[in-house]
Amino acid sequence: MTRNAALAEFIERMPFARKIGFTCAFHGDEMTATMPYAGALVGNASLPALHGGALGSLLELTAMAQVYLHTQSPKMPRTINVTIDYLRSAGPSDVFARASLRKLGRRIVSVHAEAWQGERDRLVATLRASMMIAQPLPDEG
Amino acid sequence: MAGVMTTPDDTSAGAATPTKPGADKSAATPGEINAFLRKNAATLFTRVPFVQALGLEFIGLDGDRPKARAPWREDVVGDPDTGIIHGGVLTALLDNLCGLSVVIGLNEFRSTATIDLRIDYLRSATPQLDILADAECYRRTRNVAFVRGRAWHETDEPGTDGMKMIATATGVFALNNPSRWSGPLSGSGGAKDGGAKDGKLKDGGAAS
Repeated sequence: MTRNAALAEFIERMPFARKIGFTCAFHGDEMTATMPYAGALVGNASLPALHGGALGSLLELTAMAQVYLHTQSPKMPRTINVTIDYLRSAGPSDVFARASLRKLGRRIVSVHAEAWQGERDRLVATLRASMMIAQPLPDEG
Repeated sequence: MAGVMTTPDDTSAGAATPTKPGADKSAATPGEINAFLRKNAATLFTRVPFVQALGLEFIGLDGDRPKARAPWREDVVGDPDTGIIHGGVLTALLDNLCGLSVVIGLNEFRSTATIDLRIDYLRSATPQLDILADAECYRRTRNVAFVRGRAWHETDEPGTDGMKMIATATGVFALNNPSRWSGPLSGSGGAKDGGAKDGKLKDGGAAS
């Protein structure tokens, strides 16, 4: 299975990813995730600004997708914790995100992710997470 | 971002006219403002579009702790093999509650924005069960507020005082000067009609 096919399956199987419009695919050697702007993602209608929970969801999903790709396991990685820094207010436009694995243990992975909108260098939020790698199912290998 | 504006949308609260203290004059007392914020806690929580999209429900204030519920729903499942709700729902729930816990202790109209938030997942949530959560602001300075929150399942297991903890949250929120970008004093909550009184709502006047 190609990497993009694996990612498509990751999204297809996860109702929450579909709900927030999460997509991700490889462009070159890096995976980029997208959360298209939608009114339902807004947290502050006056600004307007996207909800911190929506940005957190995008970042956590991006991190999970990166771990999922690495493990080649049909099981989803399990999040142990997340720390999200909100750097700027995110306006009403699409948000993009990338994640990188910082430390690969046998069972636990440290992963970072960052999100931006119009300009790659103007990050709106970053995430650090520890995740438990899903063990391959015994009968699936 | 996770801002909770301190100026509730009176229309959605069912009021035909603005009821915000000091909307006519500038002279609401700190006590009146605080009472107003507490009274409108449900509106402050529920009017957020992302909160509505996830079906989060406000339960009430327990002293200074706002409490809410995330009902289990198929469309927010994060793990198809188990049916467990995605962590993003807990992030949204706890972020919103933490922001609200900051606001309901205020004696003036300020807006908040999340600076950072850490969530530890103590155990997996159980599929089909509602998740409850609350938050408290335990320290408030002029410009920042420190908060913690928790999420749990109700249980009748002995020795648990009724709560099976799922997650804990720790966060820091900025308290922003509303004159930078006032929210609506009344009306529909859109940017256009905001700041009618003390004015100055600017689209570009972002938080933090």
